[in-house]
Amino acid sequence: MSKSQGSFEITLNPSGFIEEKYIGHQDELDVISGVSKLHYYSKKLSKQNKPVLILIDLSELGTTTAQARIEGIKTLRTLTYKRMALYGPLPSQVLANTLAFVAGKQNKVCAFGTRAEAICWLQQAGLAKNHARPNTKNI
Amino acid sequence: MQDPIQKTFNTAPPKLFRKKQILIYEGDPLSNIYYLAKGYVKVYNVLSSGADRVIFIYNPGDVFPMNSYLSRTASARYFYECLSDVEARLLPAERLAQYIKDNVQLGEALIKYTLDMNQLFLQRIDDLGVSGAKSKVVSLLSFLASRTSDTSVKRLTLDIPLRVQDVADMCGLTRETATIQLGELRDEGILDGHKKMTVDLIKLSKFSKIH
Repeated sequence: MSKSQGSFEITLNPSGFIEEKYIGHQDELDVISGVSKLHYYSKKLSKQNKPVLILIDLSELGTTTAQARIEGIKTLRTLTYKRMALYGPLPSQVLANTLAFVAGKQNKVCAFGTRAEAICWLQQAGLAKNHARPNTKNI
Repeated sequence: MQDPIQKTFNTAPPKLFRKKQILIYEGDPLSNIYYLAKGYVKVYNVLSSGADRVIFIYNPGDVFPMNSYLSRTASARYFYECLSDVEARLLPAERLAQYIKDNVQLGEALIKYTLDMNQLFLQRIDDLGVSGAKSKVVSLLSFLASRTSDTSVKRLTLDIPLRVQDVADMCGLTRETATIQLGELRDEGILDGHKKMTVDLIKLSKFSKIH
């Protein structure tokens, strides 16, 4: 089931991980809104005693405000998760990895160039078995 | 106020490296990050033909390989070689991570710096794709001028000590072709000097617009 709230989409993948996609320019409120959904799904999985694995698509991410980036750092610190993999073009990877370094979570958070690499890294946690995405041919 | 990147690297002692010394080999694990205090470092890869292809030149104040570090690449993508005697400050990657932790100002500075450098890399890759030997040399001179000196002046002397072979490597040309092209640019008044090249920026700009 997928919900769209303007500049982000969030899905609970049948394989058991949370998928979120950020689209276009992101300000503080956009990030807060996206993160509140992440918290919701994270709690839901935790209640079911399932590991929280998060996959974030930054392939259509636009610009971000400084305040949005600070919100991103707060999220990386406070959210409950086992691993978070992000993917997108190089500028988005640099952004995501730097925020992970600032949050001190570089061992749990990593950005990649492709969705396949990101899922492969999530799988290394040994927990996400089936990574097929509906209507995705190239995995 | 001191740049947060420079401030971070000032905690490391300076190290001296000789001209032509290779600091990082392609495929090396990213164990250290370098802050270039003095001198120039060229970034290149080796083509299947055996020729070097120079992709970039780092100036004093630059940090490398930052793009690889922040994209979490496990190993270096290129060779990094001293183009002159170099003074650099090295921070082990793990120690830099400790400095970045909880330091939003440093994080922001690194994001901006890395994205700016990424743009310059893309510009250089575009330059390498330019057709025509003279256009390649002119693109290189424009790039070097924008990187090394004050471009508000009419004529400027490039700070980087370059041999004809360096120009050839940076343009993907043979040494002979680079010599001919540099000679023609001197005849047209765009370029002056040999080891220390002086560029007429107005003529260079006119040439770039025409071609």
